[in-house]
Amino acid sequence: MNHEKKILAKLLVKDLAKKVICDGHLYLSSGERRFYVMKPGVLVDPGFIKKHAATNQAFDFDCSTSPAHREQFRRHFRELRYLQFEKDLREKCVLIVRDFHRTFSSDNHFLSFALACHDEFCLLPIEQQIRMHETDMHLYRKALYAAAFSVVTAMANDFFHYMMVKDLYNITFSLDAGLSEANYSYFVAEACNAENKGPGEGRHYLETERASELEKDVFFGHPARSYELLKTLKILSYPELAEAVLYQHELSDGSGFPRGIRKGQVSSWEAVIIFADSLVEILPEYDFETQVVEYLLNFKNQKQNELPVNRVFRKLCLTLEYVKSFKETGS
Amino acid sequence: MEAAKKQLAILNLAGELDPELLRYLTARNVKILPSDADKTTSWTHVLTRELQDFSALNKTHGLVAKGRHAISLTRVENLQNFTANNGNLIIDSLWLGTPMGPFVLDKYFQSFGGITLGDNYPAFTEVGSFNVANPFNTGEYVDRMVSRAFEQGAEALAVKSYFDHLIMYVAGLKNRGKVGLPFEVTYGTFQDIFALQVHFFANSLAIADLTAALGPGLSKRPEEYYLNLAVQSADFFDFSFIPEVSKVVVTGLWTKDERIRFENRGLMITALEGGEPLAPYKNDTATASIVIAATPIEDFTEKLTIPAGPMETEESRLVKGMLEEEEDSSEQRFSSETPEAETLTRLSGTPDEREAVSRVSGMPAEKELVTKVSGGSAEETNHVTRIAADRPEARQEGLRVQSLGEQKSDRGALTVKSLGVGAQPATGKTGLYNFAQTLGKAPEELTESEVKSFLDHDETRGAEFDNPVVKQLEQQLVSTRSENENLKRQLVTLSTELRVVKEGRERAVKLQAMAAAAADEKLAGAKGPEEDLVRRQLEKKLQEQKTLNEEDLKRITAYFEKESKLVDAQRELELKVRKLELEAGQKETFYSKELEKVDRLAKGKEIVLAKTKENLTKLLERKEQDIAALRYKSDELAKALASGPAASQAQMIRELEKQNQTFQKQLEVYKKQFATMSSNLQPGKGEEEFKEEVRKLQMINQQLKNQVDAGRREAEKLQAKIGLDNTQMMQLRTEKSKVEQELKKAIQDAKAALTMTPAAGALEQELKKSLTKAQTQAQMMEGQLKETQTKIVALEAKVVELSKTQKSTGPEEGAKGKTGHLETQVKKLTQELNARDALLSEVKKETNKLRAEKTALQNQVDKYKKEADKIEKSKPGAPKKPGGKAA
Repeated sequence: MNHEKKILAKLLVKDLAKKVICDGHLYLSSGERRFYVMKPGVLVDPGFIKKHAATNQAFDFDCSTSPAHREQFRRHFRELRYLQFEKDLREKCVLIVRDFHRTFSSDNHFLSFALACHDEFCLLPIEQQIRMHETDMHLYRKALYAAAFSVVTAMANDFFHYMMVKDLYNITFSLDAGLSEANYSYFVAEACNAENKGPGEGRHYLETERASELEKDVFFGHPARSYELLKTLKILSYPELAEAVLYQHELSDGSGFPRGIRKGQVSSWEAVIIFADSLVEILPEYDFETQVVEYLLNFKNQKQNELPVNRVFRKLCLTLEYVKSFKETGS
Repeated sequence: MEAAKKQLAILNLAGELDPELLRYLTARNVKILPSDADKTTSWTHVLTRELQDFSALNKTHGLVAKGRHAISLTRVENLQNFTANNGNLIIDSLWLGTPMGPFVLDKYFQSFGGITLGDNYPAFTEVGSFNVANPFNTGEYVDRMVSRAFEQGAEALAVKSYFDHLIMYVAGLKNRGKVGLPFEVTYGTFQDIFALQVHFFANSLAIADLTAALGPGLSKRPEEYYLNLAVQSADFFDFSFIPEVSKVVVTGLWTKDERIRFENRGLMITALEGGEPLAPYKNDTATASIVIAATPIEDFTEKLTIPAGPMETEESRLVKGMLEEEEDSSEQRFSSETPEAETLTRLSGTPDEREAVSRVSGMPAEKELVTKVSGGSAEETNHVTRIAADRPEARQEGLRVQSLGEQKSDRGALTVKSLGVGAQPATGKTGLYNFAQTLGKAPEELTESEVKSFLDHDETRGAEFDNPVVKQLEQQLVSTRSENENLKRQLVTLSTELRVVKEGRERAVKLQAMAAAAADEKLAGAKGPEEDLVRRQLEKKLQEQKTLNEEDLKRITAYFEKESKLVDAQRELELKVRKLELEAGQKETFYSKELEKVDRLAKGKEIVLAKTKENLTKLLERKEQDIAALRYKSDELAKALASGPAASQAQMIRELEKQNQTFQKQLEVYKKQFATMSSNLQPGKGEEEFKEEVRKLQMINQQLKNQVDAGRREAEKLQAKIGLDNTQMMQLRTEKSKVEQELKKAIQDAKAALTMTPAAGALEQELKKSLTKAQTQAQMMEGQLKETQTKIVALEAKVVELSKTQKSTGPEEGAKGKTGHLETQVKKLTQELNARDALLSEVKKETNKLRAEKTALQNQVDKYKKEADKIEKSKPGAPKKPGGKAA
């Protein structure tokens, strides 16, 4: 990419969507007028960044992330951490959702929020993150975004306690960590995407594509692998919440996996995770760089047929709409 | 679901069933077995009524052992006993009459349910929900829920109490690692019923965790009765466990039905399966309202009322002046209903019922007991009015004494039979009435001994009933009866003590009155004629003399002293009376407390007894089992000894020998290893080897250093050569520019040669010369480049070799740091070499450029040459070839 920094800074996120320029948040200069544009979610060795930053060769590319927004949400999360009373906690969460609405209904990249959440809540060891990233960059990016969505969904659904939100974030982040623990292929990721779009679709996809036994094993066994991983990592404040990982591909008719549970056994905290997971796909490109709130409000997925998931989604929409009306009336 | 699909069979020990229940069971094709059903017939549930001790039932029918469940159709006082003996449903006929009744039974028998209120009770409309992450930080959410219960008209205070105790119970379980946070709370309504549901994750919850918190009594250890308080606060309590996902769903229901609110409660403990119910319950509006409202919470304080219970009347007795009036009125009220209060009225019934009933008597001396019995809830007052033998309506019906057994005859065969009056329910006449008739007396005319003989007779009749359950129950009751007798005696002694205290108080009052009267008399006596005389005399003297002499003054002072002494004596008396009164009051309260304590103790003892009995029986069973097992083992051993070592044993011995051999071999191997290790550890040898190794490493290190130095030198040489190359490049450039200039000149000259031909030849020669020069220079450059390239390649190969040798030497302990240093140096060198490579490539590129330029120039030169040739040829006065003839 041969763009000057000035030109890059002027580019809008819309242009990223139009593929005028590769989406990125960091570029490095090597010599005159040469840039390496990095995709969001790409893990870069901190030593590498430090070295280039010292020689004024690395720059933040503000057209996709905003350090101001990132800092704003980090501040909110830090404040939430030290609140005690239920009323204060609720008010703070409403404030965060309001700011989320205000920030991401316009032309601001959701990555700012995702990175703020990552800075504040992520407890997964860096080795694990690198393993996910090395398995598939898109897998890592999906985890990053889905976990960020779980934070705002949890807050809209009365989960106000900092530690609880933190646990929900980490569980959502490691939902597909089980994929990187086995023989991963993009084919399996496609099956996961299909399963997220419509319950049972993943199984169908594997059957139609004549998947091998190994691929089937990777696909059907990844929730259990993720669960085992979370259990061994011991990073959760409420360890019993780890069970939620097992619900990511369960169906109300009992045909889901791994346990094939039947109707009416999904709790709201599990529904928050399922919903957040279904919001993002493992894809090289994605659709919510702009106007995330609009994306959320118009989101449709077959998983919403499940009562608790539908409840969680409706409550999120109601909270966002409430914030919107609050903003419009100025009351 | 599976249970619902196959036909259910229920053993009926509840007698005649309520029509609603019967209708339900027949509609669901449930088989109802009579109480005397064949023992071989299998069943899963047993219906009971008015049964309070379920341990006997468990023992007879093996409820726990065979996985059978008890259902009670009436209220059970001791839930701990009920649940410990596999009781899991209490449902009253009043619940069956409501729309919830069949639904609850469906849920119970079909074992369906879910986590959300919509799945668990589909008919309900959800009105709110929240999550509890910290049980001590629920705040506004609970306030809103209670407010909603008030609006709904439910018993909001009970809802609040229920929620608080339940949450504390679950929090306690969380502390023990039995359940997990968060708890999800949902509440909703259906018609006039308010439902509150809490669900949470529970991975290792046992029925013992429930029974432990269902303690019946209040104590300073609330954890023993948290759940009991929650159950008692709800009109219906549903505790469901979903094993598939290890979650527990607890639902409380509150209704507006006054009968259920005051008389009946329900309890259900089930293990559920997820999925759709067999009977569909559809409600589209369920979970419709998820509202985030900032509306203020209304103050419902005015709706809270505390009922005027018996305690208030008891306290009012302590108020002076009111006491006697109230006691009198209560006596009158009772005695007006029982004109024959002098006679003792005993009532028939089962032994436990008799205990409660026999205390009710019209004796004025036992008024304390009477007030205690009659001062309870509406239920208890009903009992008292029913017991009263001389009610006018009873007289009209010819029922002089109406027994409890007869009262409950319509509820079930079991109770009626055990009471021994089931033979003549239609006549409305009791056994006592018939007994009195045989003696030719009215029932109230019977003496105490006659009543006793009737009761003994009644007991024998009861014993004739050959139901084993009832027999065992009666045996249990007999054992508890003896304990109750003791407690009764304690109660009697305490009541007599209380009576003594009361009498003492009355005496004190009398004494006070007497003292007051005596003082008045004395005062009157003192003041009487003497005082009048003295007064009259003094008045006369004052009128006559207008002064008083000394004697008069002395008399006056003497009278004053007397009066003051009297006043003091009266004060002392009053003080004594007050003290007595206070003491009496204190003693009264002390004894009443003691009475309550004794009551509690009695209840506690009963439970302890029951538990110990259970434990003992279990222990005995276990011991018997152990003994049987031991016997079996000993028999087997004896058999084995008798028959000698079997083939299997021989094989075992062989295997053991083999194992022994292998272990011995291993031991030898280890010994050898140990010996070699110890020899290696000898000091002289080890040091020498170590020194040798160090020497070798130093050598390798030196070699590596030398190689690196050589590499450095070559790199320096290369740098120098590159510098030379650069200078040559510069020279070439300058030459190139010169050639260009020369070319330009040549072009100009060629143009000029159009006019001046002789100069063209010289120019051509010059051009040729310059071209040959450039060519030789380029060839030189090329040669130099080739040389540098070969040198670079050689250097690279050397570097690779060096790195290989470094790797092959391996990270020896002593030379680790040095080799690391060398590695870094080699890395640096390689980096430098890479940089040189880059520069060389640039140089190459430039040489290529130059070559290209050179070729271009050559082309141009050729062009010019051709042009020059053409010009020469086309010239008219061109010089002819040598050897040509002149004209």
